[in-house]
Amino acid sequence: MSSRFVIQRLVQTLLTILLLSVIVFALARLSGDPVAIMAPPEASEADLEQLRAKLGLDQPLPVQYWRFISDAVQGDFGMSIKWNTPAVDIMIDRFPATILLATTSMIFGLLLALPVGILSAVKRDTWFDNVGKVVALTGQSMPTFWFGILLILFFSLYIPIFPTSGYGTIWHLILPSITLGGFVAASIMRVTRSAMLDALEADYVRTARSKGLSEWRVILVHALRNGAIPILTIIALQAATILRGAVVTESVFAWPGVGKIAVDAVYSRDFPLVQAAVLFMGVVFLFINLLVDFMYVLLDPRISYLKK
Amino acid sequence: MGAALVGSVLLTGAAAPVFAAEDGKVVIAQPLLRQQFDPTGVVATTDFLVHDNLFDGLINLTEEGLRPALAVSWTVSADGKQIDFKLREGVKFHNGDPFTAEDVKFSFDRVMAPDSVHAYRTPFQKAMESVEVLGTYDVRFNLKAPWPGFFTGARNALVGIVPAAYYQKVGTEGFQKAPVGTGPFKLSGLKPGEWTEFTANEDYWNGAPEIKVVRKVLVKEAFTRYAMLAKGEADVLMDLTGPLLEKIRENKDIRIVSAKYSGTSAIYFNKTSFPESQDKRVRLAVAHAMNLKDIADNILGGVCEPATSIATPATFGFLPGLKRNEYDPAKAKQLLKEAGIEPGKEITFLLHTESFGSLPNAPQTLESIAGYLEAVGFKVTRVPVDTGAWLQALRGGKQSDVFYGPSSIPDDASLTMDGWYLPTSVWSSGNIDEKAYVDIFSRQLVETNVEKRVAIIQEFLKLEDEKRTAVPLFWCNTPFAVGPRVKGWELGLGSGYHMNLDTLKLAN
Repeated sequence: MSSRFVIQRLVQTLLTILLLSVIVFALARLSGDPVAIMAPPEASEADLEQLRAKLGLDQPLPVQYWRFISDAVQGDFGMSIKWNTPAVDIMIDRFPATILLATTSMIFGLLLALPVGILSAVKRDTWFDNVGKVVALTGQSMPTFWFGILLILFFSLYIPIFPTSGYGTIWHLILPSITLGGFVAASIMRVTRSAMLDALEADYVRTARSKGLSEWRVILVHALRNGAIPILTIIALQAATILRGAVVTESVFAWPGVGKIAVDAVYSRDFPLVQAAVLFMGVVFLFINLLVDFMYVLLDPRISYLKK
Repeated sequence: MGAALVGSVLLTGAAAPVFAAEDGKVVIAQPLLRQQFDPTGVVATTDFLVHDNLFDGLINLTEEGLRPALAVSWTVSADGKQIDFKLREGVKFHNGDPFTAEDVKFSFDRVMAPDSVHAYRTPFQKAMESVEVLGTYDVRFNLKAPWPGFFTGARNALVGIVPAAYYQKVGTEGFQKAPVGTGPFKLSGLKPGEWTEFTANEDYWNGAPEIKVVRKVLVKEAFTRYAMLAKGEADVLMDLTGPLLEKIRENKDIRIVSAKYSGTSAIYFNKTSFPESQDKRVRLAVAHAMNLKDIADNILGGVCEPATSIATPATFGFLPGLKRNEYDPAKAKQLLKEAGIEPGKEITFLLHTESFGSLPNAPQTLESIAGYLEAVGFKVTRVPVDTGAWLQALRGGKQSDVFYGPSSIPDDASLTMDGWYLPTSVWSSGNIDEKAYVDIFSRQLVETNVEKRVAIIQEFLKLEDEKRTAVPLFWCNTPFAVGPRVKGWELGLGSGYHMNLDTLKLAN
């Protein structure tokens, strides 16, 4: 991997983060005036101005943005208006829960999607393949919140195995992970099947077979490695989907992560917290993408040569 | 590192206790959570959901009327401008400080201070002259003019009493972190934006609460809250609306406990953008257009009933015998025709996107009302607003042509009148401009004889019934769902915002 390629991608990522910060800052302000919610209806315009000044919202937007970005690079996103706590502290407090949920969801998704996707390709047009397609279609069509509610209904109420919601034990993790993992599994499953179908028809697979290698070695070593790039791409994209889906899933299962607090912050016009949450998740997403780009190069060195 | 993180969280998590269904502990699942613990800096009325448990006021409002709390008795001077309170002796704050008149003066002075952010500071600042300490357990409130609303403002923990010495020592931020009151519960833990936990104050002056620990958990999704209650993970649910209410009624293990008549509501008109509404026939047409009983039965699930006035039967000044305008779309169309309103007349209507004020299920209810207005010939443009957007519209006087107005003051009709029916009313943006109402309001304000004051307020209700400047909608109760572990719970008036958990009793 050339250093030029690494630097180029890092600079692109930093520029994207900067752009994201502008968008986050602008969108937060477009959503309305937080002072309108905070102050009682009887408050006079002078009272509102006083409150705006206290929150720094009386400054021109460029000044507000400069203050926001220069503080943000030092890890200061201001105080949460609603919770009266530094926004960054709330993010740091919530982040492990979101990472935990995202990780277990992705593990569940991959454990489901990869074997089913590969087997569907290998057993193309059999009953297994057809069932796999129906599962993938259902998984992609079903809204996450509805799937989560169904899981609570069946596995917390009708068959009371798991807690309905909350956080604390491994049992609390299972239903939200299935909800979120099931959603990402569907896409990964479909792309894995397609990639494997292409790979299994390639010349190198025929050559491998003609060398007398076992069928599973041909599938897992020769076909899967060559079909890995689209699979890796979809996994990276699904990492973003997981962050997005966490917003809904965390709300349904009262999971104390970044997504749940972000939703509450949006409703409360809690600018500092909204900005911190979106930027936080955006940066995580961009770095996942960066990581995937580097992994491409490792998997297929031709990619780095093309960048020269 | 990721694996280590996952592993460590799971391992530490695996040992975490299951909170629900433990003896003496109660879990409340709620869609909103406030963690503002300074009663002298109340910003939102929902703060009272917490403050009632940590703090006490001078008096409590119950269905039987005003009852002593930190004050054991009170007298009002003949001119109505001095109110003397005799305070309860032997009461201690959570930190052991004795409760005295100095604490009462400090707490009220903070609310009335120029830099106060208290939600009710304006009426207090306008009406109060000073608070005077007459002795260790005697305090006097000097008013600028007679103000019946004083007792409403001073009830429960609307102005919760804080220990002056402790507050001055730790400051506002310190008090927010470690609040101290005289209330039945003490703050024992919290996670910002997730949960708050309270433990019983065993030395509470009114007897230690039966429940020893309360955890209030923020659960946004209504179905999840229901599942928590049905499975025994939670004991109390609040904000029951629509399908959730139906589901709860189907479950025989769950009971509904209601705080009666905790809110009232009406439809108001923007006289500037919809000048035709100044014709009484147009307002009457709107009244006849809506099938309120149908909405109450089918959308509000029996939690609300059609109102005959903005005063509920539990409200001071209530006038019995008024009749509501019956659902009669043909009559509504006829009235509109007589008023010169052609079918297709365009009006704007604020559609709240979340349950708002004293009207549960507000989005569906208001959508239904919009539908009824369309059925009699209006072309309704729905303007969706969340609470923040609504408050912005209100402040800018940019109410829609027709708008919904809730009132959560169940105790005194004159206060609803003050908020909605006068040219200076904040909530209706001054859209009702009746000189007679101003006169009535001024007269009841200085009337110290209770019977005479009731008669004056009823004069307003009768006149409003004739003028129909606004169309009464519903009287609503506030329902809470309780699980099988809860044996009893006495809810006071206005319990939509007041959860007096010290009266909650557990089975066994």
